[in-house]
Amino acid sequence: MGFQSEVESSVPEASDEDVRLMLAFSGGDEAAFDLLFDRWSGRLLRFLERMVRDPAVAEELLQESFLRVHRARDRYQPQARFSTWLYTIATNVARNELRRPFRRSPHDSTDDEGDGAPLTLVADAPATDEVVEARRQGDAVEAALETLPERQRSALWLSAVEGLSYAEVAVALETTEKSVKALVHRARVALSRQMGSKETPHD
Amino acid sequence: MTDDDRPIERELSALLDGELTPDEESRVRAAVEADPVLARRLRELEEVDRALLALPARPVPADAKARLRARIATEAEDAQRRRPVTAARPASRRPRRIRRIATGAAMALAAGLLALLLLPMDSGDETVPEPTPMAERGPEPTPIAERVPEPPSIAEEMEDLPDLLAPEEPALDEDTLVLAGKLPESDLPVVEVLDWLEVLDELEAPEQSG
Repeated sequence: MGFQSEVESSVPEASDEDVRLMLAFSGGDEAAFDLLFDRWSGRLLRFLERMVRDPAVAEELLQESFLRVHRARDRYQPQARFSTWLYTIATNVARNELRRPFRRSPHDSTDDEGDGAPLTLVADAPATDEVVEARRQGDAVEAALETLPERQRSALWLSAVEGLSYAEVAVALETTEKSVKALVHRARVALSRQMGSKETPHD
Repeated sequence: MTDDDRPIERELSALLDGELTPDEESRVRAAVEADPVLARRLRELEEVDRALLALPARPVPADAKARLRARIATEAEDAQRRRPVTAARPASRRPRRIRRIATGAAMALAAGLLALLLLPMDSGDETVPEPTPMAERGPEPTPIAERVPEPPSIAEEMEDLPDLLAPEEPALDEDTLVLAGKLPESDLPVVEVLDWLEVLDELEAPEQSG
């Protein structure tokens, strides 16, 4: 369980505070909404970028997600963690975008070479060997991530990175825990194989 | 059958995600310790998670919240604009419309009465013909003027007009302001002439005194 605790420790334990803020916002406190945006926009943007693989579109979807939170303030019921509710909204927004006909697709999911960096995520920084290597590895992981089917990608990201339980991922993806368990495992195995195959020439 | 197809392999992700019961976890950990292939597989899957967590995060654009706030404001304005007209219209405008309709109806009635009065009629010595036996009835029809009931006098009509023209709201309303030049003249119908005359009378005093 050592690694699991490491993963969990990277996720802020903020559920109670977020629910409190959302309830305050439902009661008319607009500043609470701003705080929720401050707390969650970074993580949500990171998730959306992995979902739609386009930074500009991800930003737009971030706006749309919080717009929906704002619209739903009168209907909000704290039946689950705020993060579960928020990722459910974001997942639906991303899915709508992915299913939109003629959507711009900067990187096709069948691009198994991944030569081009799918996202320009790294700011200009001194190009030391370590930075260059980190970028190379990051690009390889991003490229591998892109090859996953949408549901595998989102299930793995929400579970492994965002720290949602399988039950919470199931809510966000509108599926069963059993299905989430299978999706997450298949995604991990696929990424592991791709990362292994790309690292081989460098070993 | 590949390694990943083994049931125990499928439990490795659940182990990493903390989704196993204590009994299940003990069983899987024991299997991992006993099987080097399974142990290597677990390390590979752990490496995937580390790589995902190490991915750089692009900062949220500095103006993102401001743009969101602008969209929320625009949406609120649009919602306000889309509300039903009757709900958005001030209550004071409704009596004005009713008064306009009443004024129009009064004007139409007055015009009709005037037309009737101007028609040549022998209303002074009209006599209703005595009932004639069916057999003696001539072919010519009864004159129209004889069928029309006696119209009310113009004096009687004028007595009713003030009620119809009586304002249902304070006299100095939008019409007054339009006539005073304080509001642009818009869609005042012709039928409000009488209305205007009445209002003008009220305006005379303050304008002259000023």
